Amino acid sequence: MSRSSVSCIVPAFNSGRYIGEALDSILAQTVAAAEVIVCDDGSSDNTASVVATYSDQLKYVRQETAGPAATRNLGLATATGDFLAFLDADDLWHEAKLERQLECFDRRAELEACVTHAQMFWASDLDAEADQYRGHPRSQAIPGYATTTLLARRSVFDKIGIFRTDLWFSDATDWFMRARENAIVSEIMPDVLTYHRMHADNLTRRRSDASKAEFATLVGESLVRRRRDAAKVADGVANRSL
Amino acid sequence: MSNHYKLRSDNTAATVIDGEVIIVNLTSGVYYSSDGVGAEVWEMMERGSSLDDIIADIVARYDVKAETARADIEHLAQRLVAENLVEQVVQVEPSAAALRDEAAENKERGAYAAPTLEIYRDMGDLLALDPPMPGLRDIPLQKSAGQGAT
Repeated sequence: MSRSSVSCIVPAFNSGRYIGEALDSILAQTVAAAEVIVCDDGSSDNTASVVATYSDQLKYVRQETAGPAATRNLGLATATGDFLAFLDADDLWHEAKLERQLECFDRRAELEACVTHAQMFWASDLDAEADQYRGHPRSQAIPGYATTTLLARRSVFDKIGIFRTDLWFSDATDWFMRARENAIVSEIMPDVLTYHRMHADNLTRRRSDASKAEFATLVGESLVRRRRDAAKVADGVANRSL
Repeated sequence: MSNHYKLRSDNTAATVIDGEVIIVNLTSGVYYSSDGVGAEVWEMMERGSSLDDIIADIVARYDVKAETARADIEHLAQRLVAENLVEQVVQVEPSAAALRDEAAENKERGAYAAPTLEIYRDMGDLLALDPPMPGLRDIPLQKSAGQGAT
């Protein structure tokens, strides 16, 4: 197996309660990341002091609060690895996450990005909500087009750009849509290798209406872009046939 | 008594961009678009107008026969119901939104095109995880230290 270097970026905002578990799941990987970078989006809680207990194993960078996309971009600007991975500070990785994804890249030299399936789980204080979603499609293993499952070559970001900082909720979905529009060679693994924690402070819960509106807008924008590109192709065909 | 439609906003995200409505089913990741008259029908449903009022409004502003508009708009409403994007509710009292814009009726009528509902299933996998959870409720701030989490 190739031992390409992986930079693991952990965006964090007031994540003191859960970030220790997230970092433990990174440090327990069967193939170690070359570097772990915690990007603190101006937390006012004990995030920095929790991270300080890991100080010999990671880099810590901090900015004034600017949102999740800007925090991920800070990680991209700091990272030095050939491959980039992300783990939100409230989520967890399976211990073989990086190893199995790197195996995919070994098998397919042309592969540019790899995602896995994801499983939601509920914080222990939300048992009632966990019951409410039992059997719901969203509580099964889900195709994980989210940064937490992603392992991507750095060159993908050079091709399609970084995360849009004008989006507060759906910057990752927008990024994956642009990746698909640009025919980035990607693969989704059937394995569930990440765990997404539902808890009282999930950003999308806090402002669920604003989150929905932003989401529908970027789906619409992607549709408009693809129609425009299809029209260009059609024009090209028409011009050639003249 | 008249037929009203309620958006299933627990399970959908919708927005209107340049006269075209985009509706995403948050559970399946399937999304839909409808432009022109279709987008206007959606917006009137959102405001709580009855189907009869919606049809009357479209007939007043577009160059279309009443029976044609009724057939088209009823068909669109049925498809929106079938796709779980809206649900039919029977409302006894006339809604405030039922008041029509009288000024609009004196304007020149626009060219009519039957509303269609386009369905896109190409990004279902991609839209399955990160969007807002359908039906997820705000939990009042209590013991939490922060205002959000990345």
